[in-house]
This record gives sequence, structure tokens and C-alpha cells, in this order.
Amino acid sequence: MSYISATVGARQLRGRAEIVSYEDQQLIGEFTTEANEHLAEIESQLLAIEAQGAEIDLDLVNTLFRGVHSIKGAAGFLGLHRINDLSHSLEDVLNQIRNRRIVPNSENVDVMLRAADLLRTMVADVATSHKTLIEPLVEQLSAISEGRTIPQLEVTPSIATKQSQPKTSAEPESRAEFPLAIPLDAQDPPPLEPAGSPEIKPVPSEKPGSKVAEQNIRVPVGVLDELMNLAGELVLSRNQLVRKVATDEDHELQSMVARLDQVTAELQETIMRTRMQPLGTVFQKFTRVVRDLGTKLGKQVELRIEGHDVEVDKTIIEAIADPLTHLIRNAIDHGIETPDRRAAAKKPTSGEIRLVAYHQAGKVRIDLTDDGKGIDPAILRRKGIEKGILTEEEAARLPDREATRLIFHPGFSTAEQLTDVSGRGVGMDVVQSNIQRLGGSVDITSTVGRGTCIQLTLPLTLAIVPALVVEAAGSRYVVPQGNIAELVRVRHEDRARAMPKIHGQEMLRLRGGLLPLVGLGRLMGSTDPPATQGNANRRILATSILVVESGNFRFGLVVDRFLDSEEIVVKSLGRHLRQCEAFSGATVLGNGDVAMILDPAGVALLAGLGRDELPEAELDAAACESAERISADSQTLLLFTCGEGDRFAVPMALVHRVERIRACQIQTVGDREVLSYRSSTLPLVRLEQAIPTAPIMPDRSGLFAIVFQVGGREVGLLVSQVEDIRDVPNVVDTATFRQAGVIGSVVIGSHTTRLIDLYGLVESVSPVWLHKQNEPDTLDGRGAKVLLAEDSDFYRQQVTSYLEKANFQVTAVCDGTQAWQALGEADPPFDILLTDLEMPKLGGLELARRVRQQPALENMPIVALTSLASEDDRAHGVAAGVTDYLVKMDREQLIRTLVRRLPASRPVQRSGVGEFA
Amino acid sequence: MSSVDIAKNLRQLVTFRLGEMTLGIDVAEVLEINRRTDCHGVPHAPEFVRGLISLRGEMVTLIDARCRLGLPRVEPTEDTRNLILRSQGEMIGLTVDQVTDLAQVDRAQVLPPPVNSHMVDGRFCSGVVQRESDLVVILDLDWLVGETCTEATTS
Repeated sequence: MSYISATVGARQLRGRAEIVSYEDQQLIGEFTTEANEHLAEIESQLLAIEAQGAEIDLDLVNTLFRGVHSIKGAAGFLGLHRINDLSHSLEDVLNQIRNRRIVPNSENVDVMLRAADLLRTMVADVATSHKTLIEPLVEQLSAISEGRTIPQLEVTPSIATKQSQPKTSAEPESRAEFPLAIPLDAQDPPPLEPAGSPEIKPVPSEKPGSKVAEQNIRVPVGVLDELMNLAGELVLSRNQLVRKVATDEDHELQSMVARLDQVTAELQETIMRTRMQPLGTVFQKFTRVVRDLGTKLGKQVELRIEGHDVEVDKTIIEAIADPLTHLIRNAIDHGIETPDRRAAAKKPTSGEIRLVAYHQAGKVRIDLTDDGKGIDPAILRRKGIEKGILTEEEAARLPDREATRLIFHPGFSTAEQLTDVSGRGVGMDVVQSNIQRLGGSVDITSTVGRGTCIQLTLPLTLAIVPALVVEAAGSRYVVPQGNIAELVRVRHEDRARAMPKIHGQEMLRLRGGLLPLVGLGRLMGSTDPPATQGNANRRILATSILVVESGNFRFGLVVDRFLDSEEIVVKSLGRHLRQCEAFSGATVLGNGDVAMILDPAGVALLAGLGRDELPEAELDAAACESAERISADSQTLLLFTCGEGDRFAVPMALVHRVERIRACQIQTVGDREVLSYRSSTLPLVRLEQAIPTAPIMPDRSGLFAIVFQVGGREVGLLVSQVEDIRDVPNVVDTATFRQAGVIGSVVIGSHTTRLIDLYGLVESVSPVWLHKQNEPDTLDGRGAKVLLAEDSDFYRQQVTSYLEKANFQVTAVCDGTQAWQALGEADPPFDILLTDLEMPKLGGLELARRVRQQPALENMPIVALTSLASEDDRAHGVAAGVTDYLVKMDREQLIRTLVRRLPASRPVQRSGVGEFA
Repeated sequence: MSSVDIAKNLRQLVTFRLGEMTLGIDVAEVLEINRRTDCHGVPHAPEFVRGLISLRGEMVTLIDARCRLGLPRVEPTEDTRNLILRSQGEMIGLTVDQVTDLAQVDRAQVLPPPVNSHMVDGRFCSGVVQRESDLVVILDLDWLVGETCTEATTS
């Protein structure tokens, strides 16, 4: 998901020194806000306590005690010693009242009130709080808690201030030295409110110097909800107005509406933002938790955080802080091993905890992964039996994954002995119930020795989710991007091959596997023939398939059309529609229409797709999957735009580098453009020289050159903007764009993207570059017989055509079994076998193994073609007997390699005519 | 009797028609009455759910009152209205044939639902008021907008 990966890295907390101070600043801000909340009602509470005298309301005293206690704790944590000391003394007195050892009276409550005032002053100006004089009050407070007579300080600074200064005139300096106490009578105590009352609670703002207080205002969430809905309505009305005015002649009116349009959009966005907070506000705290706890337990732990700025509703932020803290403590305490144990297990001594947040299908996912010792399902089974949670028989039957989930059972703790860190009786069951209360869920996966991953899924009624709008049977549906694996278009003539029917279930053949297909229109009750109906009057008849995933389950959703990508606001469905499992919510599209949001899991359920329902064996057989499933048959493309935002791509394997250049660096030499370096020049080509596309704007100052190699020299392709690097399945449409320099088109992120043939491009712009530096023989196949096994029509045609151009005789077959047959029948034998790795029926590696076992073919060079070759792949290939490993798109290298592998004795044949003649 | 007492003893009803019947619900239950017809149908929803409309950014589930009461469906007309109610924190719209008037009835006039009326199913009725010209059936909203439905079949 690109929108997350873009944020990863930049925000990761790495440099310690710098981060801590930033973090501390954040923490202090939070401390101030929180302390102010506690202090907001302290006066009225103290006065109520005073009024009750000996008949204390224990709940009230406890509330107050907890508030002061939190201030004390947080201040101590932040090193704010004076605040810590004063609140500590105040806490002591409250504790005595709580234990009924002191009866509150006007005398001691007065001291407490002054302490509270002073606390508030210090909290408001944390920076100078360490200079504040607190000793007189601390002395008085300890006298109270120890039952001594309260020392009547003759003229304490605080009293002096109180008498001499009215409430708002204090300046920061004077406050630093003379603590300010606000006269009680000058301030109306706020009325007592029941807990959770949605009243506006203004942050005390009587301190002119306090910045934090002035920048924040507490607003009930309900008001924000209402604002949000009203803004939505405004947007719809605006849309109607815009449509109406679009046909109007009045330009003044049009510009007014345009302004309204813009302001409305900004208003909506801003209101949306008010409720959202970045998860970073919670995550930040964990860096410290991890460091402190790691030190305490003698473990080295590094925390990596991704998705800092994934924004979620404030209520969610508040609710997940505790469960997450618990999970992180667990991970350090029970997960990560001590450095020596890690060393013994050949792991890096420093453990890693990854906290990753992202939006998924209208929900927020938070994954917490550690690389610790993992959870042994055997131990959990044993404990489960010991604790009487399940019988031995049940335990034996329980799959490992389920056994791991036993950890959520109430009263389960995996720690062999309880530690003071996480064994406080708050177990995973509490975490689970807390998350479930939010309407979320928790899951866990673990591998012994490798680590544990806990996945939290949280709902988010207000989440703004990037989604794709699709059309089926005349209705629009929305699919969250997080659920979309890829978009596939199957041309009409390929349908029979790409979409076979098995047991009446239509399937999609995708990279050697089969995915069940669901026709969305029909599923939603349409009786029209599905799939191609929406395309009937379009130029190409094709089936649009959305490959969606839910958990580990994937299937293809056949829709009529892919429409726009949109950021949608998820609205939950009312109770009458809960039974509609196919939908996770609804949303209002940009044009004001309502559209349902599809929930892939529910859609699969509704369509009767279950992982277990289709017989596994038959599926496998039908899939004709190659014996080795190394990597999916996809290729890495560099995506870029030229001119008017036209989208193009080139195979990453051919790109040497990408350079950012300025237009002024481009020089024109003769009729050629070059980029001059200090000692050399780079010839440049532009797409518009060969392909119908809008030229790059001449006034653009920032451009990119994609540098690749042809004919032994480097050439730069001038583009406007480099967009992305993506793994894209080899579903190339070669029919739509038949142009020199274009291989075909692929649909990437709902955009049609033209795949550029760099050789073809150079060939049509400047054919001389292709040959200039080549010795004549290295690119001549001398009529050698090549057997090409390749299942992709596209690649088979491409490779055949350029091998034939290079004077090879090519026999092309579609899979391994055909290749095997051809090898056996060929007379004279083939000189070289060129094979794809991922093929149905018999894959390239297995074919290579068979060939090597055949004495007659023992020495035949086998060149494997792959889209993406990793070192692992190479090793597999060599083991199977592959001579060379090549990237599919690299034409030159392929031909050169084939020529090099030709038997030296091979006579030169200048024509492409085969030896069968 | 003081005016306060009179007010206490009066119930204000929004009355509306479904086929031949006149029905009423307390005016306090009604947030607004509108004539939106741009309802977005939801596949696989219970039959009595007409679909969703977006009202000031909130999703409102529209319920076909006819269907809920077991009457045959009709196409919307000029008079068709949606009564928007709030129930259990959600907005729900009740589509009716025609909104007739705002009626004040004396509480004393409200009678318990008739046990065996040929016209009225006792389950959705919380009371009836006999007026000069007609009989107003006061709807039991809890039943009407309840999730489960014993009578209307779900598709």
C-alpha cells in the first residue's frame, strides 16, 4: 500500500538524542493537558470535601487522590521535581483523609487549596516550575498529614503574593519567584459535573503566559459529529449548485460558486481533521517504554514504528493506549530473549519490535511483531490441560494456530513465573476484551524461535479510506484499496483460457494458480449476463476483475467497470442492514450518491466461496501449477509520466539508474539532445519522438532521465516525473496500443499504463545507436535452433520475434510438457533450450532436471528466463541444471548469451530458413 | 382545568395514510418529514427496507411502512413522504403514502388496541383514537422499526 510506505521511514524514530527532546516536548504538552484536566475541578472537589467534614464521600476523595497521584507520577517521570514534590505532599494529606485519619476542615482544606493553585501555576509554566518556591506549602502539608499543628508562616511568599497581587497580573518572572495563588473568592468554582458529561470544559486559561492552555480547547465529540454531518450536507448542496451553474452564462456567478466550492472542500477536510489524531501520539510513548523496560530486564530491544501518521478517531486513540502498552511490555518481557540467549540462537543480540499501523478496509490495523522466542503451542496445550480449559483429547486435536490463541483465554499467563513487569494479573484476555469492547478484534500468530505477531483490528466509523469505485449491474460499489490485491483485465479472446470453469465455478487463471471468481452484478441480484455487459459498446471487449483479499483468502470479483479512486468516509449501517454481510458500510460518493462498501469476507461468504469447499486436489490438478512455486510471475516496473500526465512504464531490470536533471542541463547537438557531464555526454531520447503523446512542457525545470543501455552505450529517456516502482503481474494487453516503441499496456491502479519497449524506441528514433559499438558476431544467431518454452503469449511473441531478427530459428511451445515432447522429437536436436520458469503443467526447473537426466541432452545449454531473478532463484536454477539465468526483457543480453552458448562448431547460416528445409 | 393540565392530557400526533388506513405517531418522535425519492437500494436487505438515503451526512435506513404492515407495495407518488425518526441512536425513515395532518388528541380518547379487528394487526398498534371521520391507529414504533420481523419475509 503505497500511501503508507510513503510515510514510513521519514517518520521512523531513529536518532536517539534528538528524538528524546522532541518526544519530551510532546510528553510535556500532554502532561500539561492531562494535569489541567485533573486540576480543573480540584477546587470544587476540595470544597465539597470540606463541606462533608468527617462524613467523607470516599469516591470523591479517591477521585481527587488519583488525579493528584497521576500528576505526581507523570511529573516524576518527566523530571519535574518541584511539581512532583508538591503533589506528593498533597497526595499524602489526601491519603490520610481517605484513611479517615484526618478530618477535613477549613484550615487544612485551605492549605490544600493553595497547594492546588500553586500546582496549577507550575503546570502552566513547566519550564520555570523548578524555580518555584514550594517549601512553605510542603512544610504545611506535611504538618497536616503528620497531625502536627500547621505552622503559621508569618508572611509566606504565597500569601504575600495573594494579598498584593490581583489574579491576572502576574508575569512569568514574578511567578517564578513568588508563587501565585489565585484568591478563592475571585473565582467561581466550576459546578460539579457527573462523570462523562458532555459539557464543554474550558481549559483554565487565566495564565497569560501559558501557551498550551491557549492553543487547545475541549469540544464535545458530539458537536464535532454534528459539524461533520452538516459539512457533508453542505458539500452535496454545493455539488448541486456547481452542476446547475456549470451551464450558466454568468461568469461572476461562476467564480462565486467556484470560491464556495473551494471553501466547502476545505471546511469539510478541516472538520474531518478535528476528530482525527495521528497514532503517533500514542506510539511516541512506547519508545521510552521499550528503552526503560529493556534496560530494566537487561534486554536489548529496538522499537520500529511505522504508520505514525495514520490518523484515527480520538476515542480510539485513548482506548488503545493501555492494551498496546500491555502488549509491548509482554513482548519485551516474554518475547525478546536476553542478549546471550539470542546470541546462542544465532540471532542479532538486539531484539526488534515492530509496531505498524495502517488502514485496511475501513478499519485500522495495528500489527505488533517481535523477533523473540515465539510462543510454543505445546506449552499452551499443556497449560490449557492443567488449567482445565480443555481436555487432553481436545488439546491433541487443536491446530497450532488455535493453540496459540489459547493465550486469550481468561486466566492464562505464559510466563513460567510471574514477573513484576507484565504478570500483574492483567492478561491477554483483558487486552482482548478491551479491544472487543471497541468493536475490534485481536489475533495472534507465532513461530517458535522466530517471534510473535499480534494483529489488532479496530473499527473506525470516521476513517477516511482510499478506495476504488467499481460498477456492476448499473450500481456503484466501493472496495477499500487495502482489500485490493490487483486489477486484471481479461480480453474476450483469452476468456476461455484465462477463465476456466471447474465444477460450475468460474475461475481465474493467474500466474499458475486459480482463483475463484464471483460476478458482482449477479451476486447483487442482477439477472443480466455479467462481466462484459458494461463494455459492450467500448472498443475492447474485456472482463474487468478485481482480485480482492481478506485475510489469507483471495478471489476475483468480476465487475463491469473500474471507475475512480476516491477517499471515502465510512458510514456504518443501521441495524436493519447488519444481516447484509457483503457490506461493511456505506459511503457518499463525490457526486452525492450513496454507494455500498464491499466487505470481501462477506462477499465470499454470500457467494458461497469457502476455502474448504472446492476439492483441493482437483484445484491443484486444474491449476496445473508448476512443481516449483518460486515467485509469482510478475515483473518490477518503473512507472513514470510524460507530457500531459500520460502514464508509462519500463521494466526495472533494464534501468541502470534514474537521474534528476534540470532543463538547462540539456544541450542540443545537431538534431540530438544530450545531457553533458564533465567528461562525457548522455544521448537523450524523448517518447514523443516515437510515440503519439503530448510533449513534455518546455518550461518544466525539474525532469528525470531514465538511463538504460543499448548497443553497449547508455541512453537517457527524458520523462516529466518518476512515479513509483511496482511489482505488476504479467498481464499485458498487446492489442490496444500497437505502436512502435510500445510493448503493450497494463492496468496499474486503475490507470492504463503503456509499457515502453526501450529497444523499439531507440530503433525508431536512432537505429544507429543499436549497432554502432557491436562487433558483428556477438548478435548473430547463425541460424541456431532454439526451443522456446513460454506460457505467456506476449513474451512468446516478443522473444520469438527478436530472436528471429537475430538469425535464430525458433520453435515456440506453451509449456514444459510440450517442450519435453519437442525435445524428444526434434531431429536434428535443438542447440539451445530457452525456458520460462513459471509454466503450467511442467515448470522450467523441472524441465531442466528432466533434460539433464537424459544422456543425449546432457550438454545442451539451458537458459532460463525470469521476470525477476533473486540469488535464491539462481541457486535453485543452477541446482536443476540451468546454464544461464536471464531477465526476460533484456533483449541484448539474451541474444548475446545465446550466441555465447552456441556450440563453437556451429556453421554460420545467414538465412532464417530452418534445417528442415 | 389549567392550560398546563390540558397540555398534559393532550397527545400531538402526526397522522398519515397507508392505503385505507389512517395511522399516527407522536410528533415528538419525528425529526423531519421529507419527500426524498433518491433512495439507494441495498441488495440482500430485508424486504421491508427500501434502502439508504444520506441525510446531512448520516445514513438513514428507509423502511417501507406498507411492506412492514403486510400491505402491497406501491410506486411512490407525489404524496409519498418519509418520516425521519431517531431510534436507538440511528436515523430511520418511514415511507408512507401521504402525510395528512397534525392532530391533537385527548389522552382519554386513546383506547387500547382492539383485540380482533379485521383491519388492524394488534402487534404494531399501541392504541386507537376514534375521530369524527375516521379511526387513527397509533403505531408502536418499537415494533415497527424493530430488527426482526415475524411477518414480512426477508429476501
